[in-house]
Amino acid sequence: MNKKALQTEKVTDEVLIARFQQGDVQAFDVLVRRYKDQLLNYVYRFVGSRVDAEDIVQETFLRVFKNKHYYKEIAKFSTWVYTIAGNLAKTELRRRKRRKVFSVSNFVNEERDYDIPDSGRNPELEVESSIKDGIIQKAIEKLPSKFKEVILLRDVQGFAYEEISQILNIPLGTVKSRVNRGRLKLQEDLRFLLEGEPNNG
Amino acid sequence: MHYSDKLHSDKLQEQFSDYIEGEMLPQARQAFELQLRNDSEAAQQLERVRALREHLTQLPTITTSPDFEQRLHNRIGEQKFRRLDPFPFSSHFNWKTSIAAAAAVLLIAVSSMLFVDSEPATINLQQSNQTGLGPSMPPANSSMMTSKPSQPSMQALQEDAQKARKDSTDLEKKMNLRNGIQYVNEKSDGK
Repeated sequence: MNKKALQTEKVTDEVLIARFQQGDVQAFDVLVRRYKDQLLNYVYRFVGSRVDAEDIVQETFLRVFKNKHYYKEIAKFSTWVYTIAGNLAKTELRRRKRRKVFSVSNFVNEERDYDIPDSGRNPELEVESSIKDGIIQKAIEKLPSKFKEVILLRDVQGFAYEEISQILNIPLGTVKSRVNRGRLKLQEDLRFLLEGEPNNG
Repeated sequence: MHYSDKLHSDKLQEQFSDYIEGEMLPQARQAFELQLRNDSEAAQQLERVRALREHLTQLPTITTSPDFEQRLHNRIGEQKFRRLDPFPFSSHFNWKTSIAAAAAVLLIAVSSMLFVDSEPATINLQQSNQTGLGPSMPPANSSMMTSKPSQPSMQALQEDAQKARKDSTDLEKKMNLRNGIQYVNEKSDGK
């Protein structure tokens, strides 16, 4: 099966990783294309720096490449790859905490090279939206890691509770309670923003 | 926050999540909606949770840089090259250094083995000199030295040596005493 066929056909991730385990490097390339942006968004929201996030995603794929034989089909590929990326992101946060280094990008929102949704090219709305996004990002970064990871996986990435439970290797009940508590913390931090919503009741 | 308030809040948050995510059973949903109609604060809180979720799901997405895959391939290539390189540290170490290091390790190993072997024999020699018994030693000790040159046998040897030293001193005292008596007797006979 050539690279184009691998991409166009609805080949599952699990089939691709199985092919890669048998030596098909093209299957690995397809997996990279499928997951690189998803993982970047997850890690970026986690660590708050685009440069660090991209390094972590590179490292994630490097580990997938090197440790391909450790993957067993009992779990979904997405579960495995998100576990690796999440662990690397947490390690990065711990490293920063130890060194007490704060990225400048945490304070200055200079990484604006993401795709802002087109809102009729209204500059005022774009600025307002960008400010809101920055505030929300700051609130997410302030969350303790255990709440941050579940909020990102559930509310930003849209994973099911069961899969989050597998990714983080914690019980389902713990996932749900952490999601609720994480949301509550975010509501407290973003109260002024959320109460100003025009569609509020 | 009071503990009971916290419990109430946690329970309410759980209900908000289940309600918004459509995980509430129809009967429970109806009951919850009725509760919301009578509790405006809870209704407002629900709206905040809903708004928060909307914000989170609509956060702008970022994309990897255009050279992401190329850089990844380069890194993978580097790793492969490193694995294939039979002498990965050749730039840091040369052959002479490696051979010298190996020789030093070997020398240390051999000398430490010799030291371990010779240590009990030295004690044996010292003991022989101290006791004046010469090379003949109790068979138990000599067997211990050859078969088990370990800490207990050395200790036993040291104890033996001390005992022999004490015996020798006692003998010397007796000899001196006997010589003294003999000397006094001779003197008295002479007188």
